[in-house]
Amino acid sequence: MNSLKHNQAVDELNSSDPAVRVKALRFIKNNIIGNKTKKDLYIQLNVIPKLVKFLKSKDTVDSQVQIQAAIVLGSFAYGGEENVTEIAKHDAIKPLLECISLQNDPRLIEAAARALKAIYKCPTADKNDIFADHHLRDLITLLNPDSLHPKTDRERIASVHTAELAATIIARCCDTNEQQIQIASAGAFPALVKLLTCGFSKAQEAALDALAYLCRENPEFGKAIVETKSETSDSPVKIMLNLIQDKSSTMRLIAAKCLTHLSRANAIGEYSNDITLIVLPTLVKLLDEKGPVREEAPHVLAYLIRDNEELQKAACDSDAVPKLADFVTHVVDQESSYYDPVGDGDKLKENALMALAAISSLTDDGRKLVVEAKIIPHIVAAMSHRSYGIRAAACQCTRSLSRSINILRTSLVDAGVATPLFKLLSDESTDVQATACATLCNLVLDFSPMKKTIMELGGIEKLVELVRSPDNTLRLNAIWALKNLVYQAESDVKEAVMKVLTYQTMENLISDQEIVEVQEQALNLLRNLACTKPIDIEEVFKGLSENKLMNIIENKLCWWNENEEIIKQVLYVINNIASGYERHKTAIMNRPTILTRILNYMGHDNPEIRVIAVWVLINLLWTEDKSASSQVRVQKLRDLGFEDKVKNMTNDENLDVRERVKTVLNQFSQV
Amino acid sequence: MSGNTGTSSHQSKKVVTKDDWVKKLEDVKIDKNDLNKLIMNYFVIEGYKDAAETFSQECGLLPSIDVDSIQDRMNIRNAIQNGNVEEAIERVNDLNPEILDTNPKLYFHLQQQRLIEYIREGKIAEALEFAQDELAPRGEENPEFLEELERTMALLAFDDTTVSPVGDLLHPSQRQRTASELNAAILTSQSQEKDPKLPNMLKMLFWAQDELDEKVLFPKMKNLVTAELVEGNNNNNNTTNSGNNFLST
Repeated sequence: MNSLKHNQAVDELNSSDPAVRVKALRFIKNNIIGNKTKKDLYIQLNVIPKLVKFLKSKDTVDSQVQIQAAIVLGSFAYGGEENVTEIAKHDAIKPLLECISLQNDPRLIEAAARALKAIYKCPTADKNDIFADHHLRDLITLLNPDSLHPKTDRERIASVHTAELAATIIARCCDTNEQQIQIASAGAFPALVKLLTCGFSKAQEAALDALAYLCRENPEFGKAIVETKSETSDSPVKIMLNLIQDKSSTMRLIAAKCLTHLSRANAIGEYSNDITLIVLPTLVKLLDEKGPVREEAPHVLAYLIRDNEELQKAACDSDAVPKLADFVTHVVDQESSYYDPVGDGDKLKENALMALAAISSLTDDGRKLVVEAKIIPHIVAAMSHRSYGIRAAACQCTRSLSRSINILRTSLVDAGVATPLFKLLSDESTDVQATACATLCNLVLDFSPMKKTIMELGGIEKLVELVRSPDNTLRLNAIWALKNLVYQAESDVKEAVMKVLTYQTMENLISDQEIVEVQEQALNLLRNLACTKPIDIEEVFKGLSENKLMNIIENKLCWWNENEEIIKQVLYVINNIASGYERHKTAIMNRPTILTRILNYMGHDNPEIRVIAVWVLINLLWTEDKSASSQVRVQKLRDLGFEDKVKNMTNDENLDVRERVKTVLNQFSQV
Repeated sequence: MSGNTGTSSHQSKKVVTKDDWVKKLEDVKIDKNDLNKLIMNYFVIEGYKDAAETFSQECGLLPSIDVDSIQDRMNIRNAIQNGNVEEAIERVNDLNPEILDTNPKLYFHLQQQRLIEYIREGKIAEALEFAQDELAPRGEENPEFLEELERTMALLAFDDTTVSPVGDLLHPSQRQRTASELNAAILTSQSQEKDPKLPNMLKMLFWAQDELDEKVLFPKMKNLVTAELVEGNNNNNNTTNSGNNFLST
């Protein structure tokens, strides 16, 4: 490329004549806009520090020079992540933020805000600067177009555009709860709600987007937004329900997204019917659109219906599944988009799979529809896709489907899901590995025809490898899968698992330092190992030694442990041991601390815990024969106050507890 | 169904006389202000700046956008239609530098148009250099552009472009296409609709007349310039055609 003229333009930036500088800046601007190659060229020619210098020297530099410099920086930022890194490296963000302060030329404010928008569009951009000093307050001020005191029509439109840019920047800077709080306390809600009715669709869209991200997973802010007074007589939700019927599909999507986030934040209140009757059908209809709207609609849909059985049923009643299935099977045309130049079919496929996973996560109706759409082979194929997002989403889909025993035994087996899923356990992305592990949990249960395949592929070895991962989710899902693998399994399966895992590792997991859920699953594994047959209990006694086993139980039942899930699992372990041979029962009887804790748990607030505690007692009282040792055991339990305790429980509010109590009293009376 | 269903239904068609029809039309209340807005919308979007200003003074209705921006758009459109793509790019970047940075397809089409203009002027060396420096990298970034690029380059293969299979690229309609795409992107960035409402409403008028024609004999509007109501049966093709003629002028 002939770079002479470009070198010359860079040289001219050093001129002392503002007119020459402006001319050079305009030349650079018109070369780099839309042109990645030229952006890279000028960055290599080290233009950024010069631009930063122009922005910083407020009083000595012509305002046109500053405006053009800000525009050039903004255009660099549109060139992708590495350009944004380059901009941040030269400390350009802070001077740009200084430029949006109200005393500056409105055209400079607009240009700087535009550059900031482009920079913050990049997910890896550092967002700390915006929360420093007065910048957030400046930004909120700009949300009100009147702040810039526009006089002519042109100025009025420019000030609305600046408000739009400010709202977009805000939308991109609320990734964390802390950021949401700072933006809200700077007064964003009233200003954004006001912008909702400004009549300029782009600004309205930006305001909706900002409100959506401010209330994401935040019930307090959801409520605050819903209760914000608007300038019209309509409430913010009512305004959004109007905007969701707009002619522009982009507006409809963003309004649906905002209402979805409010709904997820439990802030929608009296309008909850409108979520089912308006928001959900709108999202389904948007699947017929093109480009970025169609791409994002399934993503919002998935989020809306996640964990909500009623909405999943409503989605089943719409024609969402066939439409989504189409995106999964067909390679879609690559619509280039206005917002995202790199947008492509991959994202659509990923989002469609996520939506299908959500629709089929809680109801058999949803799963049936997915099967009827005949896309399971495509879902299985997608588990080997080059995009990790698609692999994870396809895996999630399989996971939802595998919750139906029927589908697990038929369609999923036919599609040969085990092998590709097993491969994902070694995926380069931890997210994919964790999802694969979670999916595997359903496939290794005893009734699954794929259990054998997975074990033959080396599933135990792989899961044991993952159980040692430093990633919490991965470790949790791996121990979960191992626990399921030994659930109601034959003794040889249990033996095979423990040979690889080792009792020592299980012991470590039972006292996992990072997350208590791992402890819970590890205890559940112990419970499953010691289940069904006395010979299996014997194995556990051998594996850990009686002393160690009892110490683990005693430690977990210490008085300060208030985690009910842990208490339940430990009680189940005791219960399984108590159902074993005489010597197993004796092991428990030899531990007075454990017995006292069991007695205490019979008065626990949680009826489930009371039931298990009583079950332990039933098993301890159970005798095959009238041997001397069993006589002694009953007497000891009586002496410890178990019989008196149980007598007081005959009026327990829980039916299950009352029934078990009857059994126990019967047992005591027979001895 | 038998073949005579058509005639029998024709015979059973209800007839509405012109007088009755006009009376019915007069009963429909239409807000004058709405009609004015419809016309202003047409002037603004299609870029009739002077007409918009005059109309604004006449009916006291403010345009939905400042009239200067209509002029901006018209200058940009004219630049492309005069073959001056570079000027159009500079103007659109002055208006809003985001448009071409966020719309790679449009940017490619403008660069393609520049290439076409070089070829039209017979500047072959410039054309080749431009294609290599500016267009080839876009094709690498976005393979979907490659086909169009190849098609454009094929212009160079023919001495007489009128017989070339890609000769349409040199036709004025190609400039118009590029200009319209750019105009639409600018309008979108200004929160304006891309298409005026009026032509769609007229299309709906003809569609509704055709639908009604299946059941009722009534006076129809066939010529939109005179808006005269014409009685009697006529075939549907004519009405549709007259509608399209209006829309393309």
